[in-house]
Amino acid sequence: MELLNLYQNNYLIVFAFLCLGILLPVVALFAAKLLRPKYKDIASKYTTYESGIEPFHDARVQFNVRYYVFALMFVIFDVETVFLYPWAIAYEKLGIFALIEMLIFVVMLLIGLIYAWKKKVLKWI
Amino acid sequence: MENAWLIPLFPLLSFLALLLFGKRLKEASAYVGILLTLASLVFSVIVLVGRLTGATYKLEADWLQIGDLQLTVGFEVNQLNALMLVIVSLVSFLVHTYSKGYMHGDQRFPVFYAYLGLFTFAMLGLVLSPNLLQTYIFWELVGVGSFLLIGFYFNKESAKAAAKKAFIMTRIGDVGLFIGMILLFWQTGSFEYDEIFASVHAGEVSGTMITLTAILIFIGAVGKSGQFPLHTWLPDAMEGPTPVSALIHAATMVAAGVYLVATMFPLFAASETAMSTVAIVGAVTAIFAATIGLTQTDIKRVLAYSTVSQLGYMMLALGAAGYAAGVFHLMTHAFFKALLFLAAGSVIHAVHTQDIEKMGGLWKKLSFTAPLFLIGTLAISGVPLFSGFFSKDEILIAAWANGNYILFWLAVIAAFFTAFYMFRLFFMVFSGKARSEMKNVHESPVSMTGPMIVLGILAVVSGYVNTPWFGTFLGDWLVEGNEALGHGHIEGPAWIMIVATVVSLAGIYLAYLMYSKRSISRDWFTSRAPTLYSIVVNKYFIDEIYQTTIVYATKAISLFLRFIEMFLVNGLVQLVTGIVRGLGKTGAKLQNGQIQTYGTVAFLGLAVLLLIFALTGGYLNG
Amino acid sequence: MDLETLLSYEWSLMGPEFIIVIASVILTLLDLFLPKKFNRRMLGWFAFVAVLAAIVSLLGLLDNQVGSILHDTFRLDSFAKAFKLLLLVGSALVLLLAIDYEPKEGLTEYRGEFFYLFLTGLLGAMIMSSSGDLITLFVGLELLSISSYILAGLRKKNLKSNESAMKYVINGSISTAITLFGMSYLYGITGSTNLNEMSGMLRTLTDPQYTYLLGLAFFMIFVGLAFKLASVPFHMWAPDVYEGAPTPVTAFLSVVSKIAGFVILIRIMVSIFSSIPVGDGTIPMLFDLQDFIGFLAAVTMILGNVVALRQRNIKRLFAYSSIAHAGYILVAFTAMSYVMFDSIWFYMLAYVFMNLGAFAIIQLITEKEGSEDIGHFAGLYRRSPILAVTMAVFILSLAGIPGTAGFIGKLNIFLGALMVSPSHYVLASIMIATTVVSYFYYFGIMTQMFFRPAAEETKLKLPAGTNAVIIICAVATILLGVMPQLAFDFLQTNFNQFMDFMG
Repeated sequence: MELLNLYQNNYLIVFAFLCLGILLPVVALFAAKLLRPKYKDIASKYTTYESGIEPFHDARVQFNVRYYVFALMFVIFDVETVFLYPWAIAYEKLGIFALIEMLIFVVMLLIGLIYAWKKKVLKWI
Repeated sequence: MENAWLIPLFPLLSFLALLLFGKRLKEASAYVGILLTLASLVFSVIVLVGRLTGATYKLEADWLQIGDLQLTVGFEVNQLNALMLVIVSLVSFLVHTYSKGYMHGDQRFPVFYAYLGLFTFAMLGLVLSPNLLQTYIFWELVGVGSFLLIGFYFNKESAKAAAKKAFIMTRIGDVGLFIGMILLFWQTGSFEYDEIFASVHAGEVSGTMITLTAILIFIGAVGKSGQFPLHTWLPDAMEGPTPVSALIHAATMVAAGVYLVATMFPLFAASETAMSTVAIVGAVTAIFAATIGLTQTDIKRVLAYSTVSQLGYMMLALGAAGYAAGVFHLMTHAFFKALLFLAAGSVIHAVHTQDIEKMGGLWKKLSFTAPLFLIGTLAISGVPLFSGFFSKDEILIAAWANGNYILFWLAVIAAFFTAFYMFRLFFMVFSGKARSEMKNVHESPVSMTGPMIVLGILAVVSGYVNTPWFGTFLGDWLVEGNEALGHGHIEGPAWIMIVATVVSLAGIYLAYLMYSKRSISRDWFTSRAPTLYSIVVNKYFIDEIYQTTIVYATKAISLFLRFIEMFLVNGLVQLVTGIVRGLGKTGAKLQNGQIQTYGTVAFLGLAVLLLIFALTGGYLNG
Repeated sequence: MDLETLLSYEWSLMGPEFIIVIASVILTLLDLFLPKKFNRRMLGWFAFVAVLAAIVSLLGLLDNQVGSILHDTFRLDSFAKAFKLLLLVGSALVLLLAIDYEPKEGLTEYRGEFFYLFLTGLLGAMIMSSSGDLITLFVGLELLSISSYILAGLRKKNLKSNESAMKYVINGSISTAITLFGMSYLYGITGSTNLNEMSGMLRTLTDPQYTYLLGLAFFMIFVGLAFKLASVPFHMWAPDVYEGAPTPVTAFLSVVSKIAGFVILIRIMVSIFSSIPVGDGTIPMLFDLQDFIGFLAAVTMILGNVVALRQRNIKRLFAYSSIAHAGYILVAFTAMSYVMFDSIWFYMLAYVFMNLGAFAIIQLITEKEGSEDIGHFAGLYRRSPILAVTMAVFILSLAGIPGTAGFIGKLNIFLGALMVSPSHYVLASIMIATTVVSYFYYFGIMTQMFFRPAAEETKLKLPAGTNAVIIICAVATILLGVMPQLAFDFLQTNFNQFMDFMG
């Protein structure tokens, strides 16, 4: 029972944050409205804000899909490192079983790499 | 008798062989079918003879075990089964032979014979079944066979619709049968007829449960046997080839409903309500269909309505505790109705139309068919010395003895109507002047007339196995060793027989006056209408229809009943299908291809579930 | 852990899985390194042989006592064996179909990919069926899901296929999120992911607050897994995905993936939620919530069957029919009778054969015609009587007409629903009523095949693999319909009524 209360109390913090999150913009915008000079209707007010630079074309542009594929490849090997690192530290304790597991893991990723290579992912057109 | 299980296998063999080699055999397929059904017939006769001299035989083997429920398969030869075996295989054999001539030149000749084989297999299997589950399996298979055969002329839109309608209408009944069967299983722990009856007899099943299951099973029979209100498929089923109508929609499949009630008779007999339900539905159907039959102009539709009506008689007999009478009429009807259908087929074969308004004066031209048709007509009209006379008499006596005087008189009136419309049919087709367009009319080949002659003989003599004059052999034999089935012959007052004779002769005479001699105009009823009819006329009829149609009062009733059939019964069916269709439409509309909707539905579903869970569990308020 | 303990594990229990994983690795490498003009169908045969080998190795394990390795994350009990067998048999048949699959634009370089993705999907399903731990269950589920996402979009140049893959991924992720959320509650309350430990822990819970949380978990897991079953409320994706995916993939989704969904559902629900006491502690939660599952089953049956009436596309029609079949199986799951395992297993066995048989013919026709309209079945009887008759057998079985496996399956479920007390009369009646509705569309196909003139008279050429599938399925459908005892005897002798499911 106590555990449950504890569990439910954790959500109080979430609730507090939720309230804060809602309050903050509301208060800020409302304060700004009180302070700012009177509102004038100018067309440039409705353009996209680009840190002071005049916007010149649509914000949505197409990137080459290869960026994403590269990014994906990077993530895969990044994760591999994240896995390998703690294992290397604790190698002594984990023993042969973990070694074999790691080997399987690495081999699987290797196949993935071969796949990417064969499918010409690594090549920039 | 140990080899009775072979009987259904011959037609199955025929089905398989024709399925595989039909294309190569072409019209020689007929011989395969004929020979194999002949084998069935021979075995059936042997089995019948064996049963006449011996005792009931039953063989069973384990089939399926679900948990600790044990289901069995097997076969049983008792009196009813043995009799049905012979009827089914005989009619099937004759229809096989007949079809050789009738279907000659059809592109899908082998297919037709393959379907016939499948149907015969299913029907014989149904007859041999010793338990409800097996009966149900074959029951469905019979439905499939009938579906294929009705829709045989699939280029005709109406045939396709009829096939579908037949299947679905009988399915509605089958659901009743299935639920009844499961409930019975639930109460008695067995699908076996014997065990069910034993536990019903021992009073292990409550009275209401007996009534409920009996009525549910009866619903199945209503669907299959075309009883009111599920009868509408049967007239439509006439879209199938005529030999099929003779086999399925006259002699065998439609009789399966009657057979089922007869088999389950001890269950029905245990409930007063169930029995009177059966009797009332039977009587209502008999008079209802007979009235509609008065005005139909399609030769096969007249016969179809008469079949519905005669099946109603059988149900009435069973409901009135006349077990032997019902089965007896089932047998005689199988013969004379098959004869009538085959003869009608022969007529259609000769003149290439089914409209009796266009026929006439065929008596001389069809010198074989016409007398045979007359024999069938006399038999069904209940003219003395013909088979239908004896069996109808038994039914009337049973109804009288049971004390259902209203139902008795309904049956008598229906008998009058039957005689009238059957002879109306006969006179319109065979008497009068020949039409000019009826050229090239020629008698059918021997393969067609042969079976008709056999049936013609049977339509006369089959009545003599059970007569009040020479002894009621059939009835006594049928109920032998089983008190639950009642008496083989019920004694009744002698005047019933006289009334029945008078009524049928009156019907014939009236038809003669109106349609052959034409001394009474067809408008006779309108000018000299009895009060009852004029009320009906004034109530249901408007002048325009009066003017444009050949007006007479019976037609009004007939139209009215047809109206009930079309709008009330079909309307109900349509309402249900409409609801289903509407639901489908809404469901399909929701499926709009928007993935957002799909996710929303899933989340909404989850939310609703959680909400209901919270509310029912009372978790929200404490 | 040293080498000795490592070797002391009973690795042979994982034999079938090893075979599949090794085969898929070899296939990947072969596909990558073999020259372009090498016929990739050979890889399909290789995969087929691997699945057969896995079946053989599984059969060799049938006599084994229940065993578990890797801290109970892998567990081989009779439940696992029985359903793994179904998965493997289903996959073998689908592979035969896939080998013959040839879409209009060709599969070209992706044919090889099909086979190893297929094997990994199968591996996921197998892992799911014999897992005693939430983590491995989930990993198996994802392995199956991700493989099937790619499989659905394998026809790269086909818009519909792309659409179907996209929809599948998005819906799949939603479902995964929901499932995982539900599982996290379980973990939060018990502090363990091991199914046995969890059920032991939950047995002692009495606080209604906890029960409420567990109830939430129950519904989230159920709704999340409903995605795999294609049952209400997570059924909407099925028609779109089934329609767009390549036909063998559709067959895979409707059979193997669905079985896997039921496997994981039963595994989680029965081992966890049947040990949570509710109310006064006499009935377990699973029974307490029966009405909810029953309600969902009813809606699933009604919806699947009713909407199917309006379909003109054969693959969409079968999508709805497969939704309806999920509903039937859910009826058995709702009833929780003591024959539940048997009846579900048998129904799925029947379903494997009848549905895959039907899909074999569908693939044949749609490929030939290049369209999936039902109208192309018109006059099939004239073009190829044998094909039409076998298709009729499958359809009759799907409709549950006596004499076929489908009937026995339905009968079992039906009896099971009435066997328990209180009996589920309402559910059973809905099942019958919807079955009747299903006749309309099933017989619509029959009418097309038998009662319509053919648009063209060209003969259909039957590739060997498809032919084999059709024959095997037809024979099995009829055999199981006439002699169902064969299958039940097999269950009795080998699986002992699934007694070792819990322990």
